[in-house]
Amino acid sequence: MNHRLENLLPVQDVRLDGDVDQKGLREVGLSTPRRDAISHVTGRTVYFEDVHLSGDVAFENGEKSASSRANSRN
Amino acid sequence: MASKSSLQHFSFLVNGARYDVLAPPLMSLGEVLREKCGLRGLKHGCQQGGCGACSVQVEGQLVPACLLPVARANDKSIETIEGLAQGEKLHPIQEAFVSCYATQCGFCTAGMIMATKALLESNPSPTREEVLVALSGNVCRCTGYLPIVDAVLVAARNARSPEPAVGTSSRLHEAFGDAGSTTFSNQSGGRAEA
Repeated sequence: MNHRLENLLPVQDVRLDGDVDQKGLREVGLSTPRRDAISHVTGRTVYFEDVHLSGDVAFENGEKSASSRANSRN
Repeated sequence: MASKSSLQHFSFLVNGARYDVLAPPLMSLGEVLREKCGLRGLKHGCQQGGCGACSVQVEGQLVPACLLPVARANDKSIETIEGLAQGEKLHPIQEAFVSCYATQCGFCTAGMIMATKALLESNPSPTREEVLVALSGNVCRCTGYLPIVDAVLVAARNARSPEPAVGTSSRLHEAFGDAGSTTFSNQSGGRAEA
């Protein structure tokens, strides 16, 4: 098996002198899509504390979840 | 733990909608908004007023909702992150945060955006230093703050002249000037130190 760098990396047109052939690059320098950004900026992303557990749910250390704490105050 | 007899009735406007809740008067506004109003966009981080993740505007003033007893918010007008977007149309500050990649895990983002909104309402043309001061009460453990500050400056610039799309190279150069700011290296948003 040939373990030379140019055979291991799925990169086209990489020159071994460290320079790159700009023509072959399609990904470098481009932004990756942030599919979660919209939910982040609108507050819709669900985190652990946002999961509302019904009833009097407690963790092993005896602490109640935030939702249970809120419910127990009522 | 508060007993049922200590519950009191409170009424306030949240994002223009009236909410009537029964809650202990010392229960934090943040907890009331999250657990009784179902508005979970604000986050509980430190719950000591130090992280800014629960920031909301009460009568236009930025406050950490974890420190404000709900009794102090009675009959007040409150704005949260849920009230910024109009349906699927994002608020310009939200657009700037998206286009500048100013979120990673997103836990601080709601507080950051509310702090930005409060800043731009009082100072529509902040300098980078003024942005840093304004966001000093908001903690982010992911981004290193640079894209967030960029987003605030872009949002301010877009508010002054909203025509071109946010996040373009020319717009960022306009917003930041030449001195010591981060700029985008190309139109697609790759970052580089200026």
